[in-house]
Amino acid sequence: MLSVFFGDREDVIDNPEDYFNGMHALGNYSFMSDPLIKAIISDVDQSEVLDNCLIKSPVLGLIPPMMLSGGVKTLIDIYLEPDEVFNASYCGNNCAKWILKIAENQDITIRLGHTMNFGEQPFKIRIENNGLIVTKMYDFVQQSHRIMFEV
Amino acid sequence: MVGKHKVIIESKSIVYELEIKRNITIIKGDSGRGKSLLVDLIVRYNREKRNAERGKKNGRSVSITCDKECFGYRQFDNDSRSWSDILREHTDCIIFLDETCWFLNTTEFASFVKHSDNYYVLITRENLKGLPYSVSEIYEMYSYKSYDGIIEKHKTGIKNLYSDCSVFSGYSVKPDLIITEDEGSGHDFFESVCIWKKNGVKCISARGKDKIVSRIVPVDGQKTVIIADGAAYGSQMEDTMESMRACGGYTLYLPESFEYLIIRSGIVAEVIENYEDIVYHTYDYADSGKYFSWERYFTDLLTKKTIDTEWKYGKNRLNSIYKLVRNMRAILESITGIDFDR
Repeated sequence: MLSVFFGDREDVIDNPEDYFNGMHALGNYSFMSDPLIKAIISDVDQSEVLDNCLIKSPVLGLIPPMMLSGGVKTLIDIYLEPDEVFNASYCGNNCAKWILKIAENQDITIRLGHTMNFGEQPFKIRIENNGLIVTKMYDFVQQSHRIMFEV
Repeated sequence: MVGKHKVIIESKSIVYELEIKRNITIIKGDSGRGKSLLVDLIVRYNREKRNAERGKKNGRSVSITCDKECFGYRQFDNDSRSWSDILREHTDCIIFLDETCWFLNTTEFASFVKHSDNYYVLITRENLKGLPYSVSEIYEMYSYKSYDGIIEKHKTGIKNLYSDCSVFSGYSVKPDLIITEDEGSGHDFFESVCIWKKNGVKCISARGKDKIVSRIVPVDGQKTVIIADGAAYGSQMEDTMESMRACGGYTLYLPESFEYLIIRSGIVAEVIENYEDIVYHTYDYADSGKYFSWERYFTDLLTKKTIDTEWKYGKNRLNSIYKLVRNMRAILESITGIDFDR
């Protein structure tokens, strides 16, 4: 299940892009062969994984995983380390469906500093700040706004 | 700083073209569209420039064309100095910061921007509630391929994120309810219009822009117009649009500010003679070193220019001269999209 925390707290990994770069600085990218990670890279960055260390980007040409977008790096962080709380405001709305997909098989908590759009399909998200469970975007927006702007 | 400034950032495979015209510009949108690369290239450009000035012959892989200095900063840079010390070195400059800068949503940064004469391009999705940025200056990136001889290049520009929403479409709505952002002069004016028109439209105040979103609730068959200061409503836009989409029946009207509407109507032309140039080329007048937002510029302009005249303007309480029918009519003529008649 997906839990969302709005705002800031101590245990959040605030810069998941830097975290990704640091964790994989020695070049062990064996996880790149994971079908879900390949699908994320294809969908979000429109890039193709040719090899664990080599990706074909339509804009940048042949690139190493270190040059993936901040959104993709954050999704990979969340997927590989579900016990950590990552700042998912590095992710655009095109990452939202992947966050829900990752949360289908494992419990994850993400931090948001904005209202991510999870789309029109029903979902189940627990708001950590107040314990409420929301199932549609309108309720998610109202809770997010109340916590971030009115409290 | 005043004016609008074209920025072209070019490397071997990609070209960014932007036009910046206010103190705060926001770029957000989907992942994987090249937002971080933009700041990376500016950082690289400045590093290469410094190296060249020190006599190092490392070559130049990035060029920037702009009539102002451009500075990029990502928090990856292992600089021992604080962000404020680094940014303070730059004046009359366009500063590009991205989401790696953890401080963007802090009150310290908002205060820093307020007292700075730079223009800031902020690449982030964070809610920056301390910064009064305009809905017109929220952009997303788009790109397309082009060819420089046989070399393929990706050209990337920015487009308004909210240009195609009902806010700007200009279709006319007859409201049953009007919600204004504040309780002051703007609310007083629209309430007076409804009384004059005897249209039965209720006019209420949300008591602050932060409280508008929670007013957007599903109501069957009721048409509601929300009126707020577009020049400072940027931080609320995403939540407002999503709530409106879910509920239906809501229209958003976002002039720069109520003071902008008064000035644009021409009724105070005797004290603000060049008002047309001011409203159409505000970027040439609203100095970012003096004004946190265009909303504050228009308020200051109207207040100061009318101070010893019959048009004396106060933000908290509306001078009755603005509620004379001829003046209300003149102001309404410049409003498109809302029909106050029954």
